[in-house]
Amino acid sequence: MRLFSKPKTESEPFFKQVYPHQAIIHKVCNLYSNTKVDREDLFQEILIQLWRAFPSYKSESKFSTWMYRVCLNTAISGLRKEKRKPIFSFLETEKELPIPEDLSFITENEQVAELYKAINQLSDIEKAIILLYIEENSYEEIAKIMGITATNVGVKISRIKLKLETIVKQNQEI
Amino acid sequence: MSTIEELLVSYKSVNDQLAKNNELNEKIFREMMFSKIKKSFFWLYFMEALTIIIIPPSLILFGYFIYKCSTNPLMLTLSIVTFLSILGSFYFYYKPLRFGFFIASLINEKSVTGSVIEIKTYLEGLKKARIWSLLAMIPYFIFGLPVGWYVLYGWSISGIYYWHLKNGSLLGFSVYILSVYIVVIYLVWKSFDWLYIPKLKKAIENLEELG
Repeated sequence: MRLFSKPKTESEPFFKQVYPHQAIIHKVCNLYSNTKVDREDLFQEILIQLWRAFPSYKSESKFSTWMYRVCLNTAISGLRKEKRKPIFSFLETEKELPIPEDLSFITENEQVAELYKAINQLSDIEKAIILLYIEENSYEEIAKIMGITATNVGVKISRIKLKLETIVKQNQEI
Repeated sequence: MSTIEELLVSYKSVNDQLAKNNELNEKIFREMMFSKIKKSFFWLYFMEALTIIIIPPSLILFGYFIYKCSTNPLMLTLSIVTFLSILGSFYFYYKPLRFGFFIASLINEKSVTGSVIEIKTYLEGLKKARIWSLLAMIPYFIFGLPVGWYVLYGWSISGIYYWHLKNGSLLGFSVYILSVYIVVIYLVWKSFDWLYIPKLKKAIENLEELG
């Protein structure tokens, strides 16, 4: 029973804070899901986690920073759970996933499409860092969200850029 | 050939555009959070209410069974085991339904959303509960029903049990007992399909439609 055990989330303040920032949820969903159904599932899941975590939000940090943290944690931990499921794993393939139909306008720019595929090949953590980087978060903010030091963020970003460059080059050569 | 920095900038603008395309309007966002899925929870609340109504008299009844059997040590032991197994069954069967949510929804309308938000956890919990409830019922099948029959027989509430014990063959009686067990197992198992899982799936579907 958890009748009186947790602080309740009030709907109106939650809506007022989260609704204007919904793009963050969509961006995280687009990054971690490859089909429309998966994106919708993840969107729901993230909304649920935001709702749960909302009472613990303290205005000391930026709301978007807090939101990124919850969204990325949900997406990454959700993916870890998925990966742990051994049933029918033999049906899964390691090959590169195609760009989903509903995102096909990405392919209009060939180089961006290559980058999209390259980002898809990064690890979950690397994806999170590169998303935060392109969204122009400061190293300190990224560090706060990811739970690492700002120096480490700088090192990781350089490595990820190099990795992306290599993958894009490899893909173009193929 | 663009540098990786230039590519990332282009990627950002595509990503922004994509997020903008996916944006939900205020009405749909609100609905997705709260209202529409509430309806799917009517039966869950109904079952929770039913459980709250059923459990106290059941406990009183079993208390009375124990009292009736108190002169016979064997039957007293069996009754206590039965009592505990029934409690175990209730615990595993109804735990995922969380009475708390029902009471909370009566006290505070807004807290309904708290339970709505947990539908997926509910669904996972229910799938496990189906197996646990059957396991918890094993001692009930072994001890509970025979004790129940003994008590009913002792009370001379004859009915079908009495008729079987007096007039039926041992084989016929065994087949009868087994058939009762099978029906009970079937009903417990299917109750999840009939009552809970479809309601939760419907709630999730509603959410997905809204998405």
